[in-house]
Amino acid sequence: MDAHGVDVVVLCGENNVTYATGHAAPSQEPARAGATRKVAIITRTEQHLVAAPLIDFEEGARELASSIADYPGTLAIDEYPSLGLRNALASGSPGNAGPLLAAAKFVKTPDEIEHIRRAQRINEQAMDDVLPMLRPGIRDTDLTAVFFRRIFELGATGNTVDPIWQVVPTSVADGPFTLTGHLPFPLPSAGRILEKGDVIFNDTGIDFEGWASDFGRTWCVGVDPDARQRSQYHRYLDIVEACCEVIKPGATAWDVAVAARQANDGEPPWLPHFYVAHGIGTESAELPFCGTDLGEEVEAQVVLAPGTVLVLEPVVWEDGYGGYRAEEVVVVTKDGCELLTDYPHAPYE
Amino acid sequence: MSKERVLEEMARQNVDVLLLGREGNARYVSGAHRLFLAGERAFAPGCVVVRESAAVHLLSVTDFGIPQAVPHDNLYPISWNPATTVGRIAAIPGVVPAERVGVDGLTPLFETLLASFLPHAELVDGEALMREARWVKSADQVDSIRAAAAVAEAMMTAALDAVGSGATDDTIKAVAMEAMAAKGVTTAAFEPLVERDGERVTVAVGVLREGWEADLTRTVPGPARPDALTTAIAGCRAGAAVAELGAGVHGVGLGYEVLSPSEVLETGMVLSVGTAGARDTVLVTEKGQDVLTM
Repeated sequence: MDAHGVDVVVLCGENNVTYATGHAAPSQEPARAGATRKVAIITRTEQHLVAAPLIDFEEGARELASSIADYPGTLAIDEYPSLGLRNALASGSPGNAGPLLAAAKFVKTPDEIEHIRRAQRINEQAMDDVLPMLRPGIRDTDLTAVFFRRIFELGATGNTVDPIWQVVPTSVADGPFTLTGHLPFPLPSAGRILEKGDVIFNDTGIDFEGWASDFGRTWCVGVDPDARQRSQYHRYLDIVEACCEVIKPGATAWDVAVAARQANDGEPPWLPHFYVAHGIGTESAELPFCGTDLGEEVEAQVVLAPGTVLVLEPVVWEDGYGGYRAEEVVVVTKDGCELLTDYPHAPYE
Repeated sequence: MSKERVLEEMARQNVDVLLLGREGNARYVSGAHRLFLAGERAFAPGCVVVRESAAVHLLSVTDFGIPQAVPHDNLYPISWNPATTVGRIAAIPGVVPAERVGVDGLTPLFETLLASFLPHAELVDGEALMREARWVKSADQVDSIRAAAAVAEAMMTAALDAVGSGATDDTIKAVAMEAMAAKGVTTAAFEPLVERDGERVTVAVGVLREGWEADLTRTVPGPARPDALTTAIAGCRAGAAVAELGAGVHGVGLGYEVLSPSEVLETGMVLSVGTAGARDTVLVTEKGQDVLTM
């Protein structure tokens, strides 16, 4: 707040409130999460959490605005849940709290990293029980059932994304229509019965006391990967290794994208609508991003620091022969980086 | 059809274009099933409705989960640069000339970008418009909620079995979620809640089946529907003032609906009604109510 010349920060975004105050909202569908949100009003010396169930209505928005008006000074806000709140606050000319939040969230404390590690561990342990269920004839949603059961038995606070078990074609043209010319990913599960030889990109995430995990692996249904598929996996490992070599304090987000591309014969090893790496914290994907359409101009200004947590998610793709995708959570240390993900790449290893 | 309801409201309120960030609103007008993410999200325009052309445009890189009524030309891809996103939206026919543009939320950044790309537009409350459109459910929509209620019941049966066998709270939640997914539904309205008061155990579940919500709460031992809940449900009649319904009542449809405190209930609204450790999902009918759960 000092660095950005702000006296009062108003946070309406659930993940921002969790970050700033430690108040972890339960995991709920978006509309319920919005209606039951706690809004945080933060000054240099105090913070207040207020409920705002009628924020969508003029009266409720005005009531919240008048609570905010009790705190004088330069105001910044993260989002307006309703146009009513924007109008009710217009006279205070709120600034954008986004840059201030992004700067604060960029470096995680040891306790925050420990929460991410715990979330990741629960996610990984649940997968220990899902993988043995993978066989021809099972539905994708049956894998979700096992996953849900285990994450809650293991103490997850919530599930954050509809678990993805996407069967990928060998050629993009054999899959669903895509605007990008590359794989449309991720797609929700839809009760598909898995068949022998299917290759699955999975992607799941859970919430532990407000902090996110992110898990991704490639699995084969009822068969072992062939030599070509194993070579794709080895290319994936090479890309991860190349990224980890450059990830250290002082490196930029752009450096990570460049390293990934160089390890893949100059071609970007990621889906064009995404990135090769993203941050993680109270959100499953947050700043920094490496390899987005923001490009070098923006990403070369983003400098990694000890405590930045990244999820590497390269996609190796050989059209006609499918590909390999997985995810590794890494934390930037004093002089390099350390893997938080601790999970094998069966059946590829 | 839902899109027609929205277009009618746009005409009535003289709104030229809607920019929708809330997933329930986007799904209502388009029928699209995009990947479910739990939690509140800041506004970003993921769906655009143009009144003049009656066209719905969606942020999606694929047509998977997108109804055929939305052609490929009406899909726009994700961008990490909000200016690129707003630029793509401005390129949609009918958007730049729009004078009244409804939004269901905003951020400081999108406010600036919209002012720059759509300099003639007056921003108006798109959420109020969508609430008006979504408020009363069609027979098909009620059937969808009834089907969601059946899944909530399966969750409750599994959860209460676990309570009966002395399971921990975590295990009770776990079996409820497992039972939901075993029915092919992988999106909860909220994670199951378990509360204990001495011998009494209260379990609350909520499910989104194909986007449509049903909620159910029960307490054991005790009657499935205590008298206080029966009374509360009976109070939810067409013409009753929302302000008099009490805190335990909210709307459901494509997720949670906040009832306008200045309105009265109408036939065809669906409510989640809870009190005394129990909750049901209830349709307001001409003659009274139809309880959709259990």
